[in-house]
Amino acid sequence: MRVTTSMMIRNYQTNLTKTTETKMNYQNKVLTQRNFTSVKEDPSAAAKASNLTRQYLKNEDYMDMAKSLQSKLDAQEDSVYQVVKYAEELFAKIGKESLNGTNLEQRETYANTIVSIRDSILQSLNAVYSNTYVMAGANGTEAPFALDEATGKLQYRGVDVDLTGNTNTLKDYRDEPLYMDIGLGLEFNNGGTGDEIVSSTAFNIAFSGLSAIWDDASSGTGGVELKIGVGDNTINSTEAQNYRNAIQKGQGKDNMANNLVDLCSQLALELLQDDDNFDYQSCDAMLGKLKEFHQQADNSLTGIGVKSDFLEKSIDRMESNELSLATQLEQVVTPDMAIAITNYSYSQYAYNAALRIGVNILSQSFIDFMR
Amino acid sequence: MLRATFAGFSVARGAMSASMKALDVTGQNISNVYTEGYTRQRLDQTSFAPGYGNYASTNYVAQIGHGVLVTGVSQIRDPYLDIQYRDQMADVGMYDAKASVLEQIEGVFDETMKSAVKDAFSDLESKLLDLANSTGSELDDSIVRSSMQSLVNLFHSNATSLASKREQVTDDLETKMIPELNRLMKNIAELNKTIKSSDILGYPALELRDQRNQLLDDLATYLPIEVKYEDEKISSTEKVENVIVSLVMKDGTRTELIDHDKYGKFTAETTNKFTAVTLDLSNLDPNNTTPVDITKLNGNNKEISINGGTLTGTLNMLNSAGVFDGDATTEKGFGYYEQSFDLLVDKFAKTLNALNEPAKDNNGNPVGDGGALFVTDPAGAASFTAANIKVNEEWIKGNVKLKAKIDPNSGTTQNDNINKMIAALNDKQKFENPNKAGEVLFEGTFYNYYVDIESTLGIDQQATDNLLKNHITVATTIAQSKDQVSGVSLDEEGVNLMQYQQSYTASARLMTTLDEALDKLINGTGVVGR
Repeated sequence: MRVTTSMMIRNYQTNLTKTTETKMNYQNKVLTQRNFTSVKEDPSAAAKASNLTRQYLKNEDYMDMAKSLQSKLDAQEDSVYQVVKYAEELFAKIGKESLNGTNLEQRETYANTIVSIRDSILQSLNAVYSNTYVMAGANGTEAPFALDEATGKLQYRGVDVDLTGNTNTLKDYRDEPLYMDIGLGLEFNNGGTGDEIVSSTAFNIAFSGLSAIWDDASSGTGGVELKIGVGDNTINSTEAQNYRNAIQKGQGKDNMANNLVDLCSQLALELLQDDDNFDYQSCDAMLGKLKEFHQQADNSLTGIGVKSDFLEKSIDRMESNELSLATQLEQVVTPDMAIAITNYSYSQYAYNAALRIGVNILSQSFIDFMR
Repeated sequence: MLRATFAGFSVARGAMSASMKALDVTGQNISNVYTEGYTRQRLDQTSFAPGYGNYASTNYVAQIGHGVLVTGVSQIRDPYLDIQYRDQMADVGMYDAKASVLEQIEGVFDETMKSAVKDAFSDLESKLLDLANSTGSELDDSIVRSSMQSLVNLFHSNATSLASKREQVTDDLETKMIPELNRLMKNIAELNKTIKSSDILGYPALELRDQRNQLLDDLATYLPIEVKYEDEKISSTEKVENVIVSLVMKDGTRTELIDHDKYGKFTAETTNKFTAVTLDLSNLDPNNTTPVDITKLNGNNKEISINGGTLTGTLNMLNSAGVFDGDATTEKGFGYYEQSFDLLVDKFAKTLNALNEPAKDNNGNPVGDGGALFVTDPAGAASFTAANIKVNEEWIKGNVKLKAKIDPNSGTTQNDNINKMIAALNDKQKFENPNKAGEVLFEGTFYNYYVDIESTLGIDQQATDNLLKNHITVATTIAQSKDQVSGVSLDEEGVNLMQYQQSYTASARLMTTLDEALDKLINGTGVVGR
């Protein structure tokens, strides 16, 4: 083969460029600590990294969401716990004491206490967390519970709870879900085209206080007014008289209010009856119902606990996911620094050698040795 | 046959002259050892021996040659290597142009080292999740709006950037490449004329041929060409070389670009983003007044009629949109990335707008929150594009609100419609080819379609870079072979220097030897008796 000077130079330049390019690539890997700095360098790894990054960010969002929901559940739990405690105090202590050989004067004191506890229960049912009423189901911007000033009856979202005609509406309110996406594969029915979320694919944070204090199977008092301590907040004998006019002695045990709040009012009104009209049996039956409501509220508390536990486990799963995704991402994106630095050092060595060879190639020819 | 007494002197003089010329040629070679395109020269000489075969000669007379005859100076060049080299350079030019444009598009879409559209999609979902967790809050609605505004700004930014890069490439083609092509053709034609004149005068014009070869090599990087050398008779005995350069069309036919001193002229004209290139051949043939259409932009057939060279590579990138052209083209140029991105934007805007449509009462009247989140600017366009999409001003003013719940009568913190939007961001959408009914180009989330655009670009770049590297390697190998034949070797020229110097010395020595011999004859003989 005939070797010419221009051929040697072209060859040298081509190879020196290649060596420089290799050195620069390895240098970039070390400096950026990335396997690639553009998609073209490794399209499949880049696509994988994009998907992993997306999953990582979503996982982070779901974790934030789950932690926020956990706080909401804590607030719900606190409020229901208060209700449970009040219910327990009512049936286990105050209610029983008020029936044991008391006269009207003593019963008036107990009635006052019961009305006061009723109002506390109401406050707990209207508890607010982060500008949202925690027991309002999917209607969190408005206080869910109130006592009607005219009738003294409990209303949920403006609907009288103790009226059987309202049962279906109240059930709709109570059961309206409020789903949150916590990475369970959020999906709507009918293959995504429907308007209802597939319940297993999202977390239902809605909690209506009705679940804790309302017996949806009971027919209630049948529309009897239970006004006591409402409006001017004073208890007077007229209220007790009105109650007695509306309900005959002995009917109380058959026409008990279908919710904890109204039952408190009803019990207080019963205790306010004079000795002739006082109906021990009705009061006793009401205490029995109070105990049932205590159990119902306690069950709600357990239900919240189960949800909270599920969230806790979900957060654990997400934390583990985060670690796994971060590891996978690192494997795809970050080079093994030992290998990267070794490669860089070797490429630097090759580059230096190429430069040294260049000095020899370019300076020497036969002409240098001619005399 | 008697030998002339002083014949030896002319042999020595001829030899000295030839050696000196050879030294001159060696000097020319050494001087141009680093000159790009220089072809090694060689002194052509033959041994000179006139008078053989005279009928008066006898077998007993030794016939001796009359020295050396310099017949000319020639170049050592292999035309086959030129053809191979130019073929390869056409491919190098084409893939180089493509790689260069793809690199510009990479600057727009590649988000490996920057935070843009992909992160904005993630941020939007994050904000929607926040809103789902706090529906009814005026503040969160505006946070989602800000996130969508950022996304729309990034759509605009990519669209503007892409348009500016397309404009730059178009401008380069019109103001640099086409004038450069025309300049090259003109210069080659002018050199043809000068070389022909030199040939007629008997001057070989080797350096001009080098220049012409260099220009032909340059032309070959722009266009697929074929170079033919034809002898043209200028008298009954004399002929000169004529060069014909033809454009190799995709269908295998040839279109003459340069014939001797006549040459064609390329013209580029851009209308509605597409650049049409035509070749005017009226200078070569006055009867041929219809320019050759290189780009064929009529209808859907955008396949250009040549295949190779920077011009092809650039035109492919400017005029081809891959699958969006139907079956017409396969190259994914600017159009492919523009239309893919527009498709993503259109689907995204229409999906979210549909989800935000207000609910209707029994009479079909809208009730509750809702309304278009995105509108086109100017208003009324049938499709959203990355350039025309904008966040509805009515939303910014508060006249349109994000529809949080599907049923306006459900709870105040109900978020099922926000969840629908979140689900839509994670659902597999079908991205259909707007120019070919029923053809699904991609099925996946908005985010993944962007990743797909990014990956398609990366894969195309990788393939183009690899092809470019391959063609450069082959071209370099051929260039090496050309250097092997036509390049100057300083070692060889050094040896030549010694050789011709020795040859010159020997010729001079011959001269003095003859002088001494004749001196003996002239001055040293017949002296008896003097």
